[in-house]
Amino acid sequence: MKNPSNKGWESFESEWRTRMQEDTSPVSEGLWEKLSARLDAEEKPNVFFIKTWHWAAILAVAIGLGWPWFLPRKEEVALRAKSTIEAPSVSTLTIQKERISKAIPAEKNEVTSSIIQKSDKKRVYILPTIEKSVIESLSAPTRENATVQQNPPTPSNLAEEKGAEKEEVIWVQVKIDPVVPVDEERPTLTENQIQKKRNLGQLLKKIKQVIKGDPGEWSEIKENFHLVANKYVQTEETIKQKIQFQ
Amino acid sequence: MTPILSSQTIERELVQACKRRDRKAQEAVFKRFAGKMKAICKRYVGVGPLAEDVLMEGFMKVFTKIDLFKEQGSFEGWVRRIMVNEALMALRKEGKMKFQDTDFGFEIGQAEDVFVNLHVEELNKLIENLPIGYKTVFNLYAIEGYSHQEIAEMLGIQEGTSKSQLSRARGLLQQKLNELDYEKSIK
Repeated sequence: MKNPSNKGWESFESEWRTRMQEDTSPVSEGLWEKLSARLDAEEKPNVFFIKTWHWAAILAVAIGLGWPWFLPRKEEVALRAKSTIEAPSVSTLTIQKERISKAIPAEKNEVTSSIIQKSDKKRVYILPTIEKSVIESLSAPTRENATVQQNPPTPSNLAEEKGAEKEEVIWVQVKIDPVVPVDEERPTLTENQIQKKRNLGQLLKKIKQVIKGDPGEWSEIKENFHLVANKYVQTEETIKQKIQFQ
Repeated sequence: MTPILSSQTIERELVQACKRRDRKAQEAVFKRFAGKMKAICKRYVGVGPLAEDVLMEGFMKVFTKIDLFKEQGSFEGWVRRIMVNEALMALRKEGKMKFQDTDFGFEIGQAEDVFVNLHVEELNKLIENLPIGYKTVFNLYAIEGYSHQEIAEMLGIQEGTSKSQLSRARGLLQQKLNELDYEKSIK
């Protein structure tokens, strides 16, 4: 329950509130100018953004559209893939016992795995090593599928260990390359392209005939459409396969 | 014939223009409310340059945060709330926000008729001379109409503290009013 004195205060305060709502106080001159200047300063970065945002948008769209030009063209990809196919391939595994210095040329770009086998404990260590990259190796890859070496020169971090234990270490170097059967006749990408062009040409010819007034056979056109589409799909798949192999 | 626009319509259009950062509209809003808002700032921070600083900061907030105004309530009420908050922030920054526990021993009696006849200027003077804690709570409760719960949240104090500050403010005001009445009767 409210105190009666409080109740009296509430009514007076309510009266005061109403009067105070309209109370004003003079504002010094030039205050608006100061405020306006501060607002200008505050909004300046936004004005810059508003002026430049459409240029930024245009630039972003241009980069988006121009991106495919930076990617390697189909012909280049096809040429690379073809060169990979034509490279000599080795169908069998060769295991040779020789020094590692002979097996791996100093400037070969290969990712190898080294297996160290200790004779007494019969333990096998697999040490992946990545050697210096050389671009030429990409264009003319070696076809050694697997090389097993015995007593290779010990790496520097294992030299002391080896010296101490005097163990026989067997190095197994595995080089993985795509194994492509020589006998299998694969249609090359260029052949695919020729075929594709031929199909497309035929299709265009049919369409031209239709435009000229000769209705022709729609089923034929449809068939040609399928042929062209299939060739495109095949080409894309072949390219993907080649890239994966590379 | 020029159509007569209601005050509300003008206010709504001004707000819309302010949202578009129209400087003319902002000036119109400033001129419309600056006097009233300055009076509020003075009630909280006292007369002096601080009141205008608070007013300036308050209007900066009004114009930069105007997009947050949803146009559901009164625009003037929204501006008032910003000014009050800005004034409280200024008091806190200045380290002036202190709540006295001192009980001056004044009994809160029945409010007298003399209170009703008070002029706004006289009332302002009386409020201005109150200790800062009393003044702040009295202003928030009696003049702005906030509840004790809201005041406690705004000032970061207990609800009980808000109530006791108001009660003491009333007691002190009553005593001063009695003195004023006595002086008037002598004259």
